[in-house]
Amino acid sequence: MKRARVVLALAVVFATGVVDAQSTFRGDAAHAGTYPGEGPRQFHRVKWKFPTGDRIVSSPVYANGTIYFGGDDGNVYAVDAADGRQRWKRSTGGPVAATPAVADGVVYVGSYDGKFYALDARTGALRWRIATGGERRFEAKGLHGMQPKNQTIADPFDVYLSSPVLGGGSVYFGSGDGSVYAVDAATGELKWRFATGDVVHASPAYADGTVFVGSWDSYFYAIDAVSGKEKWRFHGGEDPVIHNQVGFQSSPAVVDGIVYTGCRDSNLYAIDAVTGKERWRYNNKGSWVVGSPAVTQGKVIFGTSDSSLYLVVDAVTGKEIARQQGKAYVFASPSVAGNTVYVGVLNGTLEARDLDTGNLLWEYYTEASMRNDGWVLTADRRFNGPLLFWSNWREVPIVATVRQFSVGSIFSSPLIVDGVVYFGSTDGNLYALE
Amino acid sequence: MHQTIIALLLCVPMLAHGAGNSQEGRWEGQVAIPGNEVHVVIDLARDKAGIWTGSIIMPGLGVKGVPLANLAVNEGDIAFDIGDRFRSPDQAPTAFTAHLTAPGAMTGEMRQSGNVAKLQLTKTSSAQVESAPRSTAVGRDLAGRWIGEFELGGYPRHVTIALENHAGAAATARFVIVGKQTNDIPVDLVTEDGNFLRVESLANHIAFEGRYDKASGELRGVVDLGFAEVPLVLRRSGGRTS
Repeated sequence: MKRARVVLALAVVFATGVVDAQSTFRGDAAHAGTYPGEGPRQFHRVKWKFPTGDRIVSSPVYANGTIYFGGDDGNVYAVDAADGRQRWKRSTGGPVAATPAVADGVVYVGSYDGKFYALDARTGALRWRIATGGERRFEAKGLHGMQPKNQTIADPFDVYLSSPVLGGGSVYFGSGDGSVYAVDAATGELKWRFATGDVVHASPAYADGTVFVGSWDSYFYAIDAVSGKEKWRFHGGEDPVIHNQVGFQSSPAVVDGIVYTGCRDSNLYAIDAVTGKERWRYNNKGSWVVGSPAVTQGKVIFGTSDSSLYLVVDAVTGKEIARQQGKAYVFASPSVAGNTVYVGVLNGTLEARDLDTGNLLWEYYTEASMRNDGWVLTADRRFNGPLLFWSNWREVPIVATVRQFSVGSIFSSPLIVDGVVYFGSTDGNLYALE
Repeated sequence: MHQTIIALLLCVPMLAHGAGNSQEGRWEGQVAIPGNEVHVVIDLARDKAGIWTGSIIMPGLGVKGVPLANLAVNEGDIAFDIGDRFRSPDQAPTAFTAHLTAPGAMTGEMRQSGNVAKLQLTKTSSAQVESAPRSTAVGRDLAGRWIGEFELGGYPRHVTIALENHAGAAATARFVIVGKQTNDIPVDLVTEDGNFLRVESLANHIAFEGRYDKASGELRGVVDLGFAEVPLVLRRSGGRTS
């Protein structure tokens, strides 16, 4: 009887651990980006695809046989993981460009309508909802060198909303109003609000009673999870002229007392979680690190934008272990299952790579990527510069993003459950591959 | 030989039945709008009463699970419209027609604001028709007449919402906004979801959403006018209707 109880207890602990590691952006509260079990080392087939009304930049999460994600069509979706059939959808007043978190039968997610929702995980019914100070994109005059340089322009590459993380009975998330919020997960009551100097669209990580998150004000913050008081702040790079090399769009991963975060200043930083002191930085020579790094087995895995690199560095020293030249920008965060890394690319390709070498194992092209409307891609699947970046008005970052999205770009971070890889695409489909 | 003939004869009714259901399923394809080919997913099925029902998805255009209106399915042909989606003023609803050209293939047209584009569809799987959102009954605390006021553009607007429950059915509502003129807004949906009441006019993109505060007896929320969201507090006026 005693032995049976121990087995039962272990089973419960194990089961809970599995659910926790798949029900939040990047797997769990620390955002390590690792998933239990193995993912496919070879591509066999599309298990199912689920079409929505607009692009998907949200990442899917899993709880109790259901996949949850947000759509830019304004809906939060619950889809049966087995057959891809819709269980429910719940409309919000704007694109749901954040990844939901699921805990204790409740789905938590924010929307571009400036509200944060708690929904019943089984039915989608509203449990509570609170309004933030309102959403907005990062913006600046002369942004990325666009004209007219005296006009404030919203950043078309600010595609994500902050995804929530749960810890100690609270749900934490950032907002376009520049604040980080702590809200009672059960009631929706505001516990505290921490003001930064600009948009917070990175997703906070939670570890050891501390909330870690970066802001577009060029600072990365460690905040006491209970009091909302600042523990330390770390200063990233600044770019007062064209505002291109500034801001923490990347979400952090916290592993073994070190915070790993990308930055638009083109660095990947390793920061001591207790002191806020820099351990090391890996510079990418002007290329943004937008995605959240995956951290496993002493390795940090991440992708870059313009240089289109897939990189693996040592978690302790920051020394390069592996480098692979990709074909297009990487905004999505890599996800690890077993010895395989899955990462989405903005040319509409999902790549599976070997964890140790970074070698490409297989790749899958989204439907829109295969169509290649307007020849946005070259025949070898790189971005087709002359057609992609054509604009007399130097509105390249705006028109080019619209063109980029037309090829089913993958901003979504892959979720791996029971050997199936789930991810969203700007072609409006949520894909399940095995 | 004899057995083969019997088997073939047995198959005839099955084939005939299959033909009758040949439009049932999930159809995917493209609408060839010049310079902007649009992907479309159409689900068609019969409900329990044998009546055809369907919904449509148009990725990139914000259309997900919109019910097919005026759906007609005849021998090899389908026709429907999508109500007020993409409907220009003084124009007919956006409409689709298609006919079977081969097993699992349809071609046809989409018409919107006087424009016509070719439609090509292929059957890909079984239907996943999405049910339209339905009104719910409302709590006893909410039934009755509520009044309030908000200001927009320097002018006051008086709001009246009258909620009525019906035995064994969903609630209905009358939603009137009086500014420079009286707007009796047609209500499509009344839902009580969690602690929230939502009264919505889908065609007009106008809604009231609020939460009942027992202590004050007020309905506190916002009126969403599509282009703006304005705070609105409603207070009970007169008796309850149920």
